[in-house]
Amino acid sequence: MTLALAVAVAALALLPLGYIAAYTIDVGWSGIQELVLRPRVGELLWNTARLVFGTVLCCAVLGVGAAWLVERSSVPGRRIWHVLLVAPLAVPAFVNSYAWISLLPGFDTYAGALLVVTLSYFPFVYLPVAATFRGLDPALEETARGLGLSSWAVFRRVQLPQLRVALLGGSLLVALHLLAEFGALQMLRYPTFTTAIYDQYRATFNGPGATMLAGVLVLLCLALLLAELRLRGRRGYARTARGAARPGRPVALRGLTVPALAGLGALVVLALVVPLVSLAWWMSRGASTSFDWPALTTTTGTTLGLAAVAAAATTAMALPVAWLAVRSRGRLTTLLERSTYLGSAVPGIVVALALVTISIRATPWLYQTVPVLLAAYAILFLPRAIVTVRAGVEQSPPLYDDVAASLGSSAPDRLRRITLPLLAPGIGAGAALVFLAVVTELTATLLLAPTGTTTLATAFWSASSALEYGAAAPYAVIMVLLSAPATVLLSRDARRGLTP
Amino acid sequence: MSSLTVKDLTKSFGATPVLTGVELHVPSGSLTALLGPSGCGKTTLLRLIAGFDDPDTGSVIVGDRVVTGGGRSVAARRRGIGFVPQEGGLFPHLTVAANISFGLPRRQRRDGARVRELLALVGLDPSLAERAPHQLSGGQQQRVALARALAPEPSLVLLDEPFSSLDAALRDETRAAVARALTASGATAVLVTHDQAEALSMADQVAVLRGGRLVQLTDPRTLYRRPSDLDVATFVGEAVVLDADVRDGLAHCVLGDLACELATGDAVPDGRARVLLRPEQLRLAAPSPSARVARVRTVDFYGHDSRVWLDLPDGRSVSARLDGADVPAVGDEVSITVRGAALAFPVTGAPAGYAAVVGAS
Repeated sequence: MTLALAVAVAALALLPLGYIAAYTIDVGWSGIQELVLRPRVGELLWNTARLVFGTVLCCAVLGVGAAWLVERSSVPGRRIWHVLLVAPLAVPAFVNSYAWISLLPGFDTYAGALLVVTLSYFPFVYLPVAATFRGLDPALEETARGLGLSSWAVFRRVQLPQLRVALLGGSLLVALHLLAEFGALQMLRYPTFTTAIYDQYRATFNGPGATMLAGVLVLLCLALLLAELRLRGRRGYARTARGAARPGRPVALRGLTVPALAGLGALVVLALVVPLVSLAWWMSRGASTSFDWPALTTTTGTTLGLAAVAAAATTAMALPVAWLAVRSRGRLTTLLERSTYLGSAVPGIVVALALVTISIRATPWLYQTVPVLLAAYAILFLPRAIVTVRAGVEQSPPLYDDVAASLGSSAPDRLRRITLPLLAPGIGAGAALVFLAVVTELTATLLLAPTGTTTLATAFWSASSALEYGAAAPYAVIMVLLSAPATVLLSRDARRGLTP
Repeated sequence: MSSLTVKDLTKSFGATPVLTGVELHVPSGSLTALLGPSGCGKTTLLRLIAGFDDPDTGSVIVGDRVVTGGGRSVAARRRGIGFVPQEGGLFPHLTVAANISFGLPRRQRRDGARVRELLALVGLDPSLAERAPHQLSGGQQQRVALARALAPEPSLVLLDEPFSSLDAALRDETRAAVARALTASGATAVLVTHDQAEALSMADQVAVLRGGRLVQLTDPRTLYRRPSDLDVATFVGEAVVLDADVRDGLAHCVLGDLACELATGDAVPDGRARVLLRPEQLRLAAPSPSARVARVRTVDFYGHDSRVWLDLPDGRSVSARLDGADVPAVGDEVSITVRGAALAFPVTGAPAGYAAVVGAS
């Protein structure tokens, strides 16, 4: 029963991938040659590759540098800096993009795109690297110093090798997000696969051109995912000593304190202050003209409702997969769990494209309805729910079931009194994560939302696409406000380490 | 309270046999320890009795009710068997009071008096009732787990290595409290342990499991004095095992000519044998020509008693356990005499004239 449900969930997660694969086989080799091997695809590939490469490089430098300053140096106000460096996650990339392009209309260049996505994504590197810095055994550092190494040599020869896994993991995350990024790049008029697929779709609906572009994009994503899996397989360095690590003594910056502060300050200004000020500016401009408050209220209501239903549905789907992954660990259940991760690595634009086509062909009565949209959200965000629900299942070992049974408790009684209360925190956290992701989801919603249904993201999108920046601002502000709590949680969770 | 009878119980996991033909009878109101090294199947046996797993063959009878056997199996929740797992297994989301009253009928769950009564039974302060499990020490958690198991007045209580995660001082204290509570409630109990001192001190009878088979079931004194084979002997306590030649009821070995008998109490047939002495059977005195002389190699001083390692003239060494303050110094020459009879295990084909020392604690 549970297994059947889990298999169904995994099948749903793999639906877009299966669609792309089936379509490719259908098109055949000659079709692929005609559709894929052409200069336009080469151009997109070059655009995508240089953006991914540049962004990953910049994010790595900024992320590691900032993490070292906050976790290992004597820079003043380390806790505040930590929160400020995680905070850009509360501003969706397409809102950030809007903030910059609305202030500087000439920003639609490679450099502009590089700057905007780097500022949006560097926390993905910063967070794991900062966590690793915190976990490093200071005894290693002290030993290295005792052997006569300088601060720089300690960083390069002792700390950097240990950061490798966190750094590569964060970089891959940036790359995967970037391959799937649509809104930010479309707004900056920087053509990559996602924007090209979208334009093709708008022009020819579900033509083979869009699907084949999606196929190339999916291949890129799968290559990255494979790299990530291999990396996780050879995870990390064990700390050989037992017991808790002592917090390390920070490195004194002395004369470099002011440049360090200036660097962190500049980063925060660019990543956080500029978008927020820009939003505030357009808010005031929008408020001075007339603004459609009822529309804002309805849209917010629709978004929250949609997000709540999606959170409930996705978490419910995560339950059987997470349960089996913990309780009956095996090849099949691992495969099922991995399938959901694989499915969610597919960019939102591809998921949407696949679901549009499948629903038109197989279930026309479902086309442009809420269930299809919910299915897209589930495919995209299942792993977030599975990770947290899984942690909950791990908190509730079968032993408790046995003990409760020996005390005369029946199976439904055990479910009510033992299993559900123990799973509740994990289920709640998973639902919250999915909820917040749905609130700011743009790409799939744009293609799949039923006619007349607008969410905060799509309302913001249509206003800003029409260059009505003032009208778009309030929607962006609400999205940022809704995302803020999750960001605070993220930073607090990591900050615990700073207080010994 | 009911007795427990296990008949011909067999269980395999895949192709690996875990239990083979286990027979066990636990009289009503008594405490039986299941003693064995890790991996011998004792926890599996406990889970089969509790009904968490089903055996391949064999039956489990509680009182006069067959709970497993003949292809039928009563669900764990209908067996009325209390279970205390290794780390206590308290439900982390419930308070101490809610844990204890978990198995009570709904109406009685609110009854604070019953909870206080059970807390008192296991020797805990009633003020702990509203604490969360993680606010208790390991020993307190074990006691609450026992109170929870005893609350529905089960016919039998199973304890799965309940003291193994506690440190030494806490273990003795918790052990005493649990023994008191079990006696006071008159419960029939089965205690799984790999600690021979725990089994010998707490149990009315001890069942020794080895490799999935029950090798000996008897009371603690008999088990210690007349173990059925040398493996059991070394497992349940420190042992001095020597090779000997038996002639006319006397074992001739490096410690002289010792009186000996079989574990059954019968006379020992002539021939080669291995003889078992307990370290406390060795007495030391000033060197004299009539007794064997040895040299003291090391002394482990424990306060209440001491273990003395002795080098024999032929290069072997044995240990002796001495009480009191009269402990020799390292390097002293002493003579060894043996108090009481040695236990002989006849062997065939083993070389004579060598002594082996096995210490188990």
